[in-house]
Amino acid sequence: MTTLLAAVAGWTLAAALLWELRRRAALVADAAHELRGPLTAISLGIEALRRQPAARHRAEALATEVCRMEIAADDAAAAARGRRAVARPERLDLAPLVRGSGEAWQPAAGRRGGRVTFDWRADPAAVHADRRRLAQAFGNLLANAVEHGGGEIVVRSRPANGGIRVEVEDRGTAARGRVRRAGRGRGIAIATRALEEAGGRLISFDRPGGGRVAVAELPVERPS
Amino acid sequence: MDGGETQVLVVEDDEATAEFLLDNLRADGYRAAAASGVGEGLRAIEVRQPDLVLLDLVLDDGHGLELLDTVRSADGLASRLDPALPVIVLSGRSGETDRVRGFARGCDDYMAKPFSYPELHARIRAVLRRAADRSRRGVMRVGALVVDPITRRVHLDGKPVHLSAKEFSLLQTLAADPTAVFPKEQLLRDVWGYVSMGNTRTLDAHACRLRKKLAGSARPFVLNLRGVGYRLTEPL
Repeated sequence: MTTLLAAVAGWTLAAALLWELRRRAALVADAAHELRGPLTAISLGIEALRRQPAARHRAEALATEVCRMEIAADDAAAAARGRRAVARPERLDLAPLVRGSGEAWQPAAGRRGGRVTFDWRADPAAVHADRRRLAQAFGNLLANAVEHGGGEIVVRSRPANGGIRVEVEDRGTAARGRVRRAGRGRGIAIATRALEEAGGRLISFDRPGGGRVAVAELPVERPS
Repeated sequence: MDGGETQVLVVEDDEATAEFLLDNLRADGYRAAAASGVGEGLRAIEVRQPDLVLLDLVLDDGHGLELLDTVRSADGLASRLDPALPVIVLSGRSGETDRVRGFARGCDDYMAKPFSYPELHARIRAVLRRAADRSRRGVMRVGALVVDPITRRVHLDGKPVHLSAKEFSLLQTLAADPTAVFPKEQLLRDVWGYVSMGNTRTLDAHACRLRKKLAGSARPFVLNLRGVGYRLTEPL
């Protein structure tokens, strides 16, 4: 009798848990779906802004940030089914995308007394990747450098090992502590995964004299 | 600027999305207008006669596919809806099932939100290019009857109808204005090339054979108005 009661209680608990999991997954899927409408409007608004020469710079930065929001919405929708967003790889020029991420974080760097500078010495580099994933990777690297590093942020590119190497270097002048370290970790993990999905990798190390250097390496697509 | 005089109708209930879409389309030279629901969209299609429709699926007063169904099932007689009107669906749902459903209901292309405007613009141009090819062919559709003047093929309810050269020419003439009455002398002049009024028995014999060959559908074709002439079909 006791065994039977225990079995019924166990089955009821499992059913309740399953129902709760499904309810939560549906809530996440609905929330992700609801993001698509406003994201469409913002993306179209940015495109209209791009046509104005004076606003073009800011529009590029906003477009890169919208890419990050799009992949986040797609990841959330896929997460409700226990998956990651389906990749949409394309041949794309890396320089404007990285520059867009840098420009997006320029105001935040300025508020902290720093700035983002570019030193792009690699040839125009076409990579085969999901634009949204790369926006996510470089957005996180820039966010980390601005929020957890500080000072002048240098975004540098060099050709490397048949691919391209993009360094995001900060001077580490921002206040440091356990919380800031923890925040850096999550952004780095997201950037690492995003770069690996694009066939690349992320290395990071302390900068001599203070600060951190995050190095993203990506394979370059050869002209066919 | 490459829209020219092309008119695009945006059927979208989200005001911000509709407004920004209009901004971009107008900047590219299109004449663009917006409607927020199924009813307003259908009225706008009838009044404005757009070259292409961008159709959201979740609308104020119903589902975008209802609008698509109404357009695709139009016979070109009961309303001013062109059943071949190019339609690109813009949907918040990006799953394979949703896309397949959209294509099955007759959309020309399907874009999941959020989409990039440059890609949408490229697809608009591609769909319009295909539509231009189609209209250059001059395919005529009257209810279940489809007449292609280039291949000289005729289909009724999707089945081929085999016509002689003169029967086809007669049908082509009548189909150019399906409910208008063509006087016999005009048909003899246009189809047979008679300068003066000749023997109308030739015309009557061809019209009778054509009527029999097109007798398979619910709508009667090739109607004889005694003493006057012929028309392809009755107005609704």
